[in-house]
Amino acid sequence: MPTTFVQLHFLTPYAPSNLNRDDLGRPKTALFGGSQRLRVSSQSLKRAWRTSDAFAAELSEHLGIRTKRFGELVLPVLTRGLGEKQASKVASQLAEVFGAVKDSGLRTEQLAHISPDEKRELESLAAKLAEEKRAPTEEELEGLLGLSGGAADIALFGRMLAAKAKFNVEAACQVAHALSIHKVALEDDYFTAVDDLKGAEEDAGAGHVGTQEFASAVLYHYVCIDRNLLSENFGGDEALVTRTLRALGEACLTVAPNGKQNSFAARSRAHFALAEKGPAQPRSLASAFLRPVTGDDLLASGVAALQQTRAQLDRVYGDAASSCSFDVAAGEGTKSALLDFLSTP
Amino acid sequence: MPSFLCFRLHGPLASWGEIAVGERRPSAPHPSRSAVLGILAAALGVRRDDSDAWGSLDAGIGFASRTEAPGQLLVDFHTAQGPGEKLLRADEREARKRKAPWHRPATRKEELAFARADLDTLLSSRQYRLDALWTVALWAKEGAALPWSIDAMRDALRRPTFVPYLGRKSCPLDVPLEPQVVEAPDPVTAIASAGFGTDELLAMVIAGGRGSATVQWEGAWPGLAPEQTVRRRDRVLSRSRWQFTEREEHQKAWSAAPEKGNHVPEQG
Repeated sequence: MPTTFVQLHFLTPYAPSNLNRDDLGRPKTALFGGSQRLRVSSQSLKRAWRTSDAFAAELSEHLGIRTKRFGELVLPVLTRGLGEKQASKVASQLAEVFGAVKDSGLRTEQLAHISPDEKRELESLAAKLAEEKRAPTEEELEGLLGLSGGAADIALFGRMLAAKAKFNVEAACQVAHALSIHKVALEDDYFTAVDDLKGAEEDAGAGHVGTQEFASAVLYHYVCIDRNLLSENFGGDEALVTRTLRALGEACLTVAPNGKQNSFAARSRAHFALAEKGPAQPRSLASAFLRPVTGDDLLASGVAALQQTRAQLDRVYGDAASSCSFDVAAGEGTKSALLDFLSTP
Repeated sequence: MPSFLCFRLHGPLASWGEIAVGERRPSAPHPSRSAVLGILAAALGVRRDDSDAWGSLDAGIGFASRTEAPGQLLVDFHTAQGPGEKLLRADEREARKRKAPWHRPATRKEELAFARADLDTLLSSRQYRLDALWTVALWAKEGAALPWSIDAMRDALRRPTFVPYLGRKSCPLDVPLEPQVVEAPDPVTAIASAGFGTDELLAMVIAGGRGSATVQWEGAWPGLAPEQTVRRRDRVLSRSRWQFTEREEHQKAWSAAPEKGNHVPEQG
């Protein structure tokens, strides 16, 4: 089956801010098309999105489940193969993997948090034991923990543990560093802080002086999701794929990075977004902004440049992907239609 | 004449990893063999742990590249927050003492659920190339037992199985690869005779690199005399274990009025 690549392009205008800074505290930048641009790194964007309420609200239970009832979960299946007495003994053994068990032997004393894959593993081990009419081995019990699958953030953004390769997950989602569509010069904010208990008779100086750098920009963002790999990371759970894509889209369009937000409050939403779906080789539309956008209306000129480049590329290469977009200034489209498009196969 | 599979690599950022131990993650100025084979493998749907397929790709495919524009270096200061191994082991001991359940944090949210002061920050300094452009050529070495024809490889690059990227997943391409099969006496001539529809779009980048092009290739070719030969550690030994070994790369400066060679017309 050919891979479906879901691509999301969006432009977000940020008022003066320092969303993502380097080791000197300066906003990150990059050269692009020969001129300096403001940059928000891929890693900064991903952290802001995956720790956001927008992401958690849609996916809370798919970041794992929390229960005490491990024995009760597997008892019915065990009883079918093992007889009542041995079944409840084995159920208790399985429950014990997740914590000390209480009176009945079927519930743990405390809630334990397990990933959807760990739950699946527990159920399939119970089925196997019932069929083979036996108790679990030490090895089988140990194998129940530590599976990350079904956790939406890991399925999207991947995980690499050099020491424990079997827990590695290949990221299904690719996030580019966001770049301003226009030239940017960093500005200095010279600031003073007053010492409230120091009177003017002592001296009139400030308690602290410093500078912080900032910039404002319209940022171009690009995200590409391999829908097939996302589905594979979820063990084929299509409903979860759909919900994860909605949650990611929601976070992309509404959540700003957290850097220095208490000083700048540059909370912005995407003003233009374009989603594309298809099997052709994915490409960002950053090349639309190689020539920096200039003029009085950066956002409108940016949208025009993006659409023009996309049309040119589609004309040369054919194989155009299906698409859906919204444009806040033009009053076209809605977020909800875009998320529907993004998340359906 | 041998056939070469030529394509173009451009994006705002690219990173061609070199030997990196610890917090410094350098990038070479031009693509590594392992990264470009990785793009092809991704397109063909070869997974990191498929050592047979990786073995035949590594043994069977030759690699050359031309740096059209070397671009600029960017050093990105990168921080990642999370619980260190020490904290995890202490947490596990603590849980065992209370007879409470324990497992490694399965999600980012769980990783960050530790008290903020206990979390570690991992620092790294990662290099990227900005405003750079490369054309690459791949070919089947003589006697290679490759399960894919060169046309199949070209088609896979047009409709890849996994997403291609410029060395790091956060470095997407911003133009199509435009894979094409070119017949030429050697890889350098093949690259010179490939034609790309994105020339106009990338005019600024191409102009920025004018006069500074270099070509890199491997193997001996009649008529190709290297100005220098370097050893690069970018041959894939094991993709899943992230192990690489050395090879020889020939290099020379390049400037020529492009000659249009035997460019096979594009289809579909």
